[in-house]
Amino acid sequence: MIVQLFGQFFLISLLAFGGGQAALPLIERVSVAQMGWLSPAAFAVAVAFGYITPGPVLMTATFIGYVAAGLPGAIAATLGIFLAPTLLAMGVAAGIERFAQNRWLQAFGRGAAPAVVGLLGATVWSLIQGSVTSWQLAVVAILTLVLASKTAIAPGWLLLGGAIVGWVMGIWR
Amino acid sequence: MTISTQHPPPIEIAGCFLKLGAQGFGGLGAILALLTHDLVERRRWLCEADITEALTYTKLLPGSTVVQVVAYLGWKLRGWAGGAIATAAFLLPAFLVMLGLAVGYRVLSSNVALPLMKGLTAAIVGLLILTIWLLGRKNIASVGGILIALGALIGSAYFGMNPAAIVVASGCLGVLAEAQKEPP
Repeated sequence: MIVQLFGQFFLISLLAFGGGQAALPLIERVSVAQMGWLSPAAFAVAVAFGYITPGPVLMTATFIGYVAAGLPGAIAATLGIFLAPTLLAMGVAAGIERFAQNRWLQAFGRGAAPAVVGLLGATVWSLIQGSVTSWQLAVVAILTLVLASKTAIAPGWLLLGGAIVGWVMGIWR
Repeated sequence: MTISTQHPPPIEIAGCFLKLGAQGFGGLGAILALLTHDLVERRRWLCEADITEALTYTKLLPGSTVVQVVAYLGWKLRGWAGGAIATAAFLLPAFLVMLGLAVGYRVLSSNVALPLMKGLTAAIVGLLILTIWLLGRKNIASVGGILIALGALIGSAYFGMNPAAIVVASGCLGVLAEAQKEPP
């Protein structure tokens, strides 16, 4: 399990062309749909925490590792998602910058990046099916989308707002 | 590319990036501003061009850009050890906070937390739809790109295809498309 956590996140990190957020759909597809380490709802919580905590959004991996296999899992997943990109970045700094500018690597990235966008669509679709089960929750989703794109409110506050709406709706029943 | 003229001792690098890691809220843009303010304006360890250079090169690589910029700048300060220290120190605060949240989640994940999580998930859906739009606008520049994105969506959502295989296959399509072009 620990080896699998490290291995899967290591692989994901190497395929995340387009920055940290590009890894989110891969993480969802692998850890929820493929490996069954956590439920879609728990994945959403992991991503929410990733936005709220300082540092990269990909700290999501730490949460998933912990839910799947405790502290060793958290460490394995965190190392897995950050190790290779860190080494690549230092390698580029050390003077193999021509690697990053390599024509074929860039072409690979140009093909891979749209696929990541499509996978993110699949992730959102699975979250909607599992979690947006009432019109009130659909309003929360649409409102968050509008506020995040039209205002400068930090994502953390929007997520907190969504959680409070959900909580109030829970009391209502 | 050379290591910067400033070589702060490892302990100072660790302390500095530990603090930056704890303050690094708000994603790539906010963190870049924070790094510039602290490393360039306050400590004068690096210059503005170093930050731009770090971003330019790491953007092309797979993985978290924030962490890669930190690793790159750490390397500039003190070589491989500097990069490793800076990255580890930068990630440590977030790791500990996330661990605390995960422990709390495990304790609380009961009926009490369920409605709260539903609201949270709905909000995440909103944020991720925005992310699709932003990533799509940045990365999809051709009809081929649109087809790849749609193919990945359908392949994953309806056929349950392996996501890693989808990304690798799409990357290979990118390479094939490049091979069709005349060499520059």
